[in-house]
Amino acid sequence: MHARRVMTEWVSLLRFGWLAGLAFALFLLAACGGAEGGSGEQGSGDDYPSQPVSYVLPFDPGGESDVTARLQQGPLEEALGTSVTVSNQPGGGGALGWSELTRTEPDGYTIMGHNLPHIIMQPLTRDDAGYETEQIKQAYIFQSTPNALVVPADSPIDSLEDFVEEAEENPGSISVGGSGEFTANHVGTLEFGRLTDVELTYVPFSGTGSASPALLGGQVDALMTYNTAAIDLQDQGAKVLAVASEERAENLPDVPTFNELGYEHQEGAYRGVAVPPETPDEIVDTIAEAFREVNEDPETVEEMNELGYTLEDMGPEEAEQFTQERQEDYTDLLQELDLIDD
Amino acid sequence: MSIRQRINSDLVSGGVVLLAVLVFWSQRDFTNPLARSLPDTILALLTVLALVLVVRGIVQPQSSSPFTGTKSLGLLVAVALLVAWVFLVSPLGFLYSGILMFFVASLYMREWPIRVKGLILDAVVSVLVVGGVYLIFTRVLLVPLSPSPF
Amino acid sequence: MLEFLAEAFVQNLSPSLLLLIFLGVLGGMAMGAIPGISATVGLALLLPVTFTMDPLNGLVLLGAVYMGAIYGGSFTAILVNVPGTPSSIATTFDGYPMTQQGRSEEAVVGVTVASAVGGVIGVLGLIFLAPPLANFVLNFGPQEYFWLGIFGLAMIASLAADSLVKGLIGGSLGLLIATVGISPVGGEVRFDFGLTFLQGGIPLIVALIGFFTIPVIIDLITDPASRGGEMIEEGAGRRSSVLVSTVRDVLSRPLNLLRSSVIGTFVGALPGAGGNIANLIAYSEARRASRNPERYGKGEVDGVVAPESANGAVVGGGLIPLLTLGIPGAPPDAVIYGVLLLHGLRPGADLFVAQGSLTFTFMVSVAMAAVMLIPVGLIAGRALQRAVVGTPTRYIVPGIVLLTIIGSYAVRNNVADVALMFLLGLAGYGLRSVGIVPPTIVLGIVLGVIVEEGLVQGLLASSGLAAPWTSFFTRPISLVIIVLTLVGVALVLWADRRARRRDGQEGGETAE
Repeated sequence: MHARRVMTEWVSLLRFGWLAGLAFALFLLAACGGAEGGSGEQGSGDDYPSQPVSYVLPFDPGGESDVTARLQQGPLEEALGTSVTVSNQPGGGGALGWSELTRTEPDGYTIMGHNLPHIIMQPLTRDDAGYETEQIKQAYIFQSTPNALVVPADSPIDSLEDFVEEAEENPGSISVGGSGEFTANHVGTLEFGRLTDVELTYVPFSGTGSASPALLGGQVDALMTYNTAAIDLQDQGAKVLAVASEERAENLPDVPTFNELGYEHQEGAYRGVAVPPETPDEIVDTIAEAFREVNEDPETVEEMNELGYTLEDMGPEEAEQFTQERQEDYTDLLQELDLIDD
Repeated sequence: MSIRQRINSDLVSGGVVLLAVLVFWSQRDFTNPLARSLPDTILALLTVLALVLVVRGIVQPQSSSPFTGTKSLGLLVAVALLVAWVFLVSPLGFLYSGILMFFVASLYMREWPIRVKGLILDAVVSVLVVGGVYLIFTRVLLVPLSPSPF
Repeated sequence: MLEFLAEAFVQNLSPSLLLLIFLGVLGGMAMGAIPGISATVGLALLLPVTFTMDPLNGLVLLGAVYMGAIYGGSFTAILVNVPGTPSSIATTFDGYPMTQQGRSEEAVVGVTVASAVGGVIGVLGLIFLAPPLANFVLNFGPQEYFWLGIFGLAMIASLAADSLVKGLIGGSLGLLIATVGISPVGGEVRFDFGLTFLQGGIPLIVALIGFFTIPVIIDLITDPASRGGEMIEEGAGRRSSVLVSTVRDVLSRPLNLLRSSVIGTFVGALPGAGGNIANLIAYSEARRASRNPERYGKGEVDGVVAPESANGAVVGGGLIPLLTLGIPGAPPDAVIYGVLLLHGLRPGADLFVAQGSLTFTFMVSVAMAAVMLIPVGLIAGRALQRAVVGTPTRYIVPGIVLLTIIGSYAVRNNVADVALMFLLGLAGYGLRSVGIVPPTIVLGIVLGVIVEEGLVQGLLASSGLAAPWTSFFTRPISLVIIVLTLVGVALVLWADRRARRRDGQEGGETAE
């Protein structure tokens, strides 16, 4: 009995080994055949783009970056003269995608959305984010969403001045919600606290969508959120105290800026598109030109405004310079607050 | 041969969990008190639970034979098949590794001896199924599956 | 409002909308049945298509795809133990055992009826209760989400196969897996074992595929007969009788359908919780209320009806905070939100009045999509089920492996996730053999996120108090959830004990 079972089992193992061997031989044959036919043609900068372009978002579908990219897809195809596919590669607040980007073939056929301050803050605050800010070669920054400070409808705070007073009287007990850690919301809260020399407690939520109900339900005393969410909150009766942009936000024309109220404070998220390091300059320029055209497409402009986005037009050099400036500011801020080592 | 190994599952599971706790504990290098509150609580809880199991395993030894009827070589082949498939994805790409391993697996699970007809049928099915799935994912669902390195 | 409703209903009977709903449900079902392609991904893929449509058609299509995708997730859960979407986790608990017993058709008919009923009830909640529900939901703060997570974890008491200690270990291991990656506070990377890609954490779907599917694949390869001997025999003659008897059986317990749908509507309306949590809660409540809790996990039809009616209701429930407050109730709602905004439709009271005609037509169309599940499910769904059942095991096994590999890759287009899925699956196989069952681990992973976020956000938000932790015990809703949790656990333990004593007596009698 035993012997028979052992036999059959050996047969099954041999069967597997034999098949694996056969399959491997077949595979080798196929590989040889494939190697002959598939001598890759490397596209130089001149004929770019001659293949479909893959536009990757390092965030989940349904978010602001994702919706924007899918809006841009049509006009971008027109501008580039080739088809564009949008896909998502989320994880680690975008870090997974950007770290992948640094290892991607620099041929311009993979472009990836990027986001300030994320690409500055992650390498600063993590031991190993998988990439360095300098490795993210930016082609264009096409939109921004400024921060806005919002308090609930029934809050005793009616103005930015009240807010600062309240925070001075109760250091640390004013909770300010926002989307994520080391995001524009978080940094904005830190910066404003430093500027006015008050202590605020920042409460990170997993996204704008889960931060808003916390304000409406009175779970937090205030919300540092984007102007896009602030308009919905205003519709629900919440008070938008100030918006952190240079000029008033188009969708919140009645809300003053921090600057108008005497506080030199501007902060927000900037979105753009980046390519792998070492991508030839001609290709980067072609991509930048295409996004510039997209930003001029009247339909896209209207849709972006509808969504509450401020259009930005920063080419490769401007974007890089802008990033460097911000990087220095943020490094100072974090060092001052002892959030990173000197 | 069949695995008839009787194991003291309380003792084994308790030991494995203690090992896992140790591994995770060695990786615990984050500093923010709020960031470590939950992981620390869980690790402490796991340690206690695992110790309960170990003690129970020693005081009231109960053995079970979880693999009754499982052939040891069958298990080995199953794992080998999966390992091979998973690790061929990177070098071969989804399409070729898929066709190859689909073919191998379907042949392995066939009644022995295999006739040429069966061999050809399985090969055709492998190419059609894997090719079809590949096309659906890449063309319809726009998942950028890496085709192959060659 | 009634005018709008009547008008919306009539408009939904137009052939063009019906066709759109039919196509949406069918396409959504196909996408939902593929592990790794979630409802959110499906909706995002359709976004460019809807840009070219007028607002109403676009929204109707998205709603139908959403409903179809959530429903489609149950097929792979039942037939091959892979939850197609996280909303169908609990469907595997009884669905796969039913397949092994040759009762997959019964399960498919059961989930079809359940999803349709749940979907309609969710929309009824949306149409008639949206403003009060939305206001109530806002009372849920971090503390309440924390306790809701604990409430869900208490389900371990009923999931743990034979040993409560091992159940608790499984749940804790799941919680530990959920902490891998960036911490919600402090932005620190935890437990990455030096691997950069782990800073993104372990995606739920990757863990689900690994823990549920790999053990089943190994079982099938080592012992093809474990797929169930009677699988292929389901004769043509019995088909109609299975259909009729199952429908009658499911409808004969309206309380289960209603309870699960209400749970789904409510949890869907919570912005911090969606179908992945609703289906688990509905399952555990169904088991607790059942007269025969010992049948759960062994192929009880109510065990697939409860999660599927709950996740059907989540679709309508999730639209409640979206349409009233502009807050997506679940991730797929974020995509619908984008479409609303693009067409200049701002959520809020205005949407129900000035845009009432469009809004009500959209809401009714979601209910129509739920009803559409019945013909689609009974024809296309059963055809799929028969095809899978009729396919020889030697093709089914590599087919599942192929789907698990591509599915775990597709979650975030990352090859490392395939290896991760496989390693978790092997660990799951090993743990299962010593009595730590995968469902308890998965429960921990699903709930870990809301437990931890609730904990740290609650502590931070009440940092004005002398002792912030007291805020977890002073809020009325928190206290209600705590009491419910304690009572629930006590009931389950008591029932189990009674059942064990009964078994013991019976065993004693036969031995004599």
